Amino acid sequence: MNFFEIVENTLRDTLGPSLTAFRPEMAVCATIVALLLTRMLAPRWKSSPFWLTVVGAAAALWFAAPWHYLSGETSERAATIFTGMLVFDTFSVYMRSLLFVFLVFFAVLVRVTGVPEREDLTEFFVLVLGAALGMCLMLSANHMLVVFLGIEMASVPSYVMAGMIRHRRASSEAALKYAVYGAATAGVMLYGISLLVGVLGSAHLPTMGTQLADMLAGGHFADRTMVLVLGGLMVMVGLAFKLSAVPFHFWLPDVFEGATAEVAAFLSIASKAAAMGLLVRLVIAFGYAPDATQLAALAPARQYMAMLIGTLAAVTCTFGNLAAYGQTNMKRLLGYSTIAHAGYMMMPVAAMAMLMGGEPAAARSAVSAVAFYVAVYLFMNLGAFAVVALVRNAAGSEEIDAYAGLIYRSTGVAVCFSIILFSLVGLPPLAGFAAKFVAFASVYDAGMLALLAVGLLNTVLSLFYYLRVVKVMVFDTAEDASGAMAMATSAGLYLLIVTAPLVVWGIWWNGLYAWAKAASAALS
Amino acid sequence: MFDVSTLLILIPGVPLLATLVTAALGRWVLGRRSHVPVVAATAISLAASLLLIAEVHHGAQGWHVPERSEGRGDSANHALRSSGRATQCEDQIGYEQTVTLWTWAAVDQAPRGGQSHLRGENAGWPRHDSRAAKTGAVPTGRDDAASRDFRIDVTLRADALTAIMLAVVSFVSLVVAVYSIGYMAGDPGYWRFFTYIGLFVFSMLMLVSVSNFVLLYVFWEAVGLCSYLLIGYWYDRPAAAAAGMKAFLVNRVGDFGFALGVFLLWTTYGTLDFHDTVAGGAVTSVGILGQTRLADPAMFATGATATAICLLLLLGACGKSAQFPLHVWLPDAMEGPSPVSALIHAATMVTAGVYLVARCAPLFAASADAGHVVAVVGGFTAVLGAVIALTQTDLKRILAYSTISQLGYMFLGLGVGTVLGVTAGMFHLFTHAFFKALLFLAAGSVMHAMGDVIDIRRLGGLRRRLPVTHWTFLAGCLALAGVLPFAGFWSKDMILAAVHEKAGAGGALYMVLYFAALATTFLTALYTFRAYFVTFFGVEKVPEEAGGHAHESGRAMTGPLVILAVCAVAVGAVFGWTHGFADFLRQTPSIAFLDARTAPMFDESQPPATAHLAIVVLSTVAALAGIALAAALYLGSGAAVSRLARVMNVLGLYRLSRGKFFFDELYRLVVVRPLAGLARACSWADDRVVDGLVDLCGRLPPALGSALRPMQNGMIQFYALAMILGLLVLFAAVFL
Amino acid sequence: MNLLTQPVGLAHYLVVGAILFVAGVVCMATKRNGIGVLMGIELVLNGANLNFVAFGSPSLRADSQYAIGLDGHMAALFVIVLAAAEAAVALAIVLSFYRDHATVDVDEADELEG
Repeated sequence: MNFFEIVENTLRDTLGPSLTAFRPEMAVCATIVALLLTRMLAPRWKSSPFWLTVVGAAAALWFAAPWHYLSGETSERAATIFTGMLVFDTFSVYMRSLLFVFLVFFAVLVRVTGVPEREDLTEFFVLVLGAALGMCLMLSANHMLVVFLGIEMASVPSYVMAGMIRHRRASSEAALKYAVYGAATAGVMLYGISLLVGVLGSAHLPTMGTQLADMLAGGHFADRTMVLVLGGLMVMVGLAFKLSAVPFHFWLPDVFEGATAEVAAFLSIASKAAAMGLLVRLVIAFGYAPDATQLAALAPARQYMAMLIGTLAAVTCTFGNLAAYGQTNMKRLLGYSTIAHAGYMMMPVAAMAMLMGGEPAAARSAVSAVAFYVAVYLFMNLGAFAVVALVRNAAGSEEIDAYAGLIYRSTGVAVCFSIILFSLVGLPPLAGFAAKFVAFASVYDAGMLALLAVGLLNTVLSLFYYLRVVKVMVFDTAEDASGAMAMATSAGLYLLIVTAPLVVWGIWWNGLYAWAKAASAALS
Repeated sequence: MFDVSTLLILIPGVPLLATLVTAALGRWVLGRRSHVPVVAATAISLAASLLLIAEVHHGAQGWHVPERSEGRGDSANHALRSSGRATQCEDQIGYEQTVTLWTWAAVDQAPRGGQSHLRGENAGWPRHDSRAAKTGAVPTGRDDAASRDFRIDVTLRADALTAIMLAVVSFVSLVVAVYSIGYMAGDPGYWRFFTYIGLFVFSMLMLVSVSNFVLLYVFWEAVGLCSYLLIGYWYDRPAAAAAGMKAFLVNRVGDFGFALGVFLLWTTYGTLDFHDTVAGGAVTSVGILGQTRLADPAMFATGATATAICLLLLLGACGKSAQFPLHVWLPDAMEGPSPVSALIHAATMVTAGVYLVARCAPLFAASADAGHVVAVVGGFTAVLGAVIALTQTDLKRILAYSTISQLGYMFLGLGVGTVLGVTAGMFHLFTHAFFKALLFLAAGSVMHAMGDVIDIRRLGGLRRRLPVTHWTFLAGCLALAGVLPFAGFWSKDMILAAVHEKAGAGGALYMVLYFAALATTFLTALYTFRAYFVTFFGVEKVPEEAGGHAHESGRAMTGPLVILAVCAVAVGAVFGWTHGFADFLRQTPSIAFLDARTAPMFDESQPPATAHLAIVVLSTVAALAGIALAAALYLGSGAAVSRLARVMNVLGLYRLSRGKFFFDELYRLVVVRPLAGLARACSWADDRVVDGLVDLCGRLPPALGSALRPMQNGMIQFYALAMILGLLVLFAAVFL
Repeated sequence: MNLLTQPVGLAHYLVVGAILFVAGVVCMATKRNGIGVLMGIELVLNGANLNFVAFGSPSLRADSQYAIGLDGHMAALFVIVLAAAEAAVALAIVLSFYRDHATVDVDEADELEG
């Protein structure tokens, strides 16, 4: 094959299936360009960033076309695009669609609650969209280079977002910590990738999997065990940083406290969802091979990943819940809650690693559990941070004390927040319960009973600190008792829309679960 | 006119609608009229419930208590039975009808492959596989690949048990809602109160009509939430807020057990439905309490699994129904408004545990040990509650401990495990709902008149000022004490008869429980009439909080009192004497199953109460003795002495009236001291040991949390170090 | 085997990479100066880069079934670009930190904790 043939093949591949599947990302790119141009060409149009972002995200959602794939209209199986760099399947469609839905909601949230400096709005949304682009790559990565690129593209804009508030000591401190910690973990991860890629002789994820299987089957594994394990752990460090798994979570509470509530919402939802999707992809890559003998040979790898992720999940969950006790700052509390939920979400991934060998159907339902959890989690945390932002605007404080007697000052907000908190605990009949249920069911299916016990115990543990907030809102009285809080109608409406899915999916979770099931259908 | 499915949707649907209307419009539009939707809705629910009873009764006509053939459950008989499964009606056990509204969740589980050992041991399923092979067509749940899907349909059911519970709940709710119009008048949170009440009524109606353990759990939590909200209704009182919290926390313990029990049910039976799912004439999924399983008792798990399931469910029931050792929350719950105490903490929600155990009677029947535990917990709680009630001075707390004690009675009946026992337990639930609601509402009326003073030491001689309250309270007391024609007598006697019957069938345990129950009868009469005499007799004492114009409550409050008083007088005789209640209830599949399974030693042609004349006499004597002792002790102080002497003269018991002094001394020495000591010990154990444990569990996580938090010291370099250390630890863990 | 007696091969490159990595990690965990920490991170990235280039080199591993060829070089190029971008952002953040705190000592960033 000469040079021109290669160019021609690449062109055909790119212009044909690849660009079609890549339309959502291109829509995001176009929006970024449009944002920058509009600021240059029409500087007077103050609300342009908001409208452009909403339209761009909606267009991306439209191109991602979840309804086509998730309703089973197209029975397309996984397809690789851009000569195998990215993979395009129902899972990536589902996760990216969630991401774009989140972007739309997020843009509206920023519109409703406002950012400190309006002239920074364009930069803010450019950063958001840039990070979202990185997350899209994470969600459909099929090559180690894309994995690393995606993580970096998602992280670097986030560092800046954390430090968006000018002249606030906490903000720049948060940004510094985030940047230093993020860059350090990225470095460690890259080194791990270099080891894995070098030893396995490929950076293409499925090929790495088959190479690993051959290596394990062929027996010339022993001398490379150490390097493989070390490489795998280092890759896990990078992921654990994005997932905020203990002990790589340290940045998160500090960054959440220092950044605005909106940015915290973005970090806690979008970045967590993308990392979760990537984790699923990597576990599948190293734990699964289409060939039966190779699949059997990968058993030690699966065992290792299940134990690693399971242990991290258990520790993360417990640590997050325990540390959330005694917090006085609402964002910090939600930060620890985010850590705990990352733990819950990792549990079905561990179960999936365990089940992938013998029971593909059960493994698929574990992936559905992750997908389901992420969707519910999106609305829970979005609502929670929206409340934090609204209360900050109305009361000027993010301390839990500021929520005292909220139910009298702003009944609707307090009721919505209570529903969100109960859903975070996982009390029926709210969606949080359904999410925990499907997650724990997978863990049970995998026979990881110790992990299940930790999960259940943590649910009980978490009850108390969430409930404390409800108690403060309902029973404590504010010292200034300044009457009703000024809340815009749009804010109340927004909160209602975000809270409604938690109730609806609580009573009718089959609706969402059918989609989550479709999302996992094309995997392995 | 209405078919069963319409009624089933209507009964909880209307209160839900009313709740939403009140919540949305109450504050600004309805205002003082916020009660209208809820009262109207409960009235509609009540009417629909009564229609439902008629429908169920009508529907059950085709079915009779089955002839007791020894061959039932026999495998020879069985093949024939399941081949005729498509035409269900002729041989179905009891009467039930289900309505599926929508599919809540359908989580598909993979067919189990090689790892089936993780499902737990095959204990209790000795005949499972051979059976499945024999009948072929009927999938049996566990281990069966096709039915591994976790699927929950929102299904409502109609059977005798549900119909009765629906009627009781909607009736008491209606009465209490009407009462609240007067009681809560002028409260700033009027609309909020009725919203909560509406939500509670909806949840409670759903709780008793769903046909699935998961939904049961959901509404179990929902009524708990309503209870929590209503206990803490007067949030500005610290005691109310603390009591709400306590109720919530103690109930968590029970609910945790319940949740584990449901989980175990799922792993054991592979479904959580009560009913069979029928599609295209064939049973596609066998419910836990479905007809297929009831027809073949061998399909129930036995042994350790069954006992574990039952005990976990019992733990949940104990939490909700305030049984030892989880009873501590109920007395504190009296911080809520009196109508709430009457509705939730006496008549309806606390009986959810009884309902659960009655519903799961076939499960308990599969484990004799669990039955014993239920009976012992019930019997012990009955005595404990009664003993503590003796020394309380807060009228509502006396009634609360009394409720605990009476619920113990119900559990005792259920623990017997025979048809008679379960129907007796349910019958006691039924009568208790009326007279205990009455007592609480009357106590509320006293409170209302006395400026919220409820300490009986500060009250006295109120019978003239509050005539209606007095008479209705007396009716309630007589019913509670179990005096002959009143409601409590019939149900209590049925329980005693059931326990006695079981004791007669061999079982020293049940003999002990029988005497404990008799002793409780005595104690019940004693504390009930102590409260009654101290409050309504003696020197008239009106606390200054009443503002000098203490008078009888308005008609909105006295009306419900009178209605309930009539019920407390009549309901036992009507349904107990005629045996109508038990006959109706036995059409419930779960209970009919017992009927088919246990051959009673007891001749059913006669009403049980009369069959055991000795029991009637004994319990009546015990009750009267209690009343007499109460009269002797509490009518004899101060100015009442002369009147007491006159009463004694009338009775011709002058010598005894002198002896009263002597009895008083003796009583003080022999009864009061030890009882007070015991009561104090119980209450100390309550406060320190039980509460202490609860507190400890509450303090541990925050302590751990604050121990961990210094790790988050803000130093980025420490974070980096922790990252590297974490990496190394994980690395080392692989090779060590 | 003794690396010093071998002809220069893959192992030598990997050892240098590992030394760079460790030096970088130590640097970023001990340097108090924010710029110094960032330099440590650069060392880590370059250690990884060296690995990539060595693994991708046709003269070192051409015969092996585990050769990654051009992939290694491409990865290295991408990482160099990314490292530059990251460094730019991180330096900007350090600058902003300096503006608010008048220091680039990362130990001074300890107000957010708990």
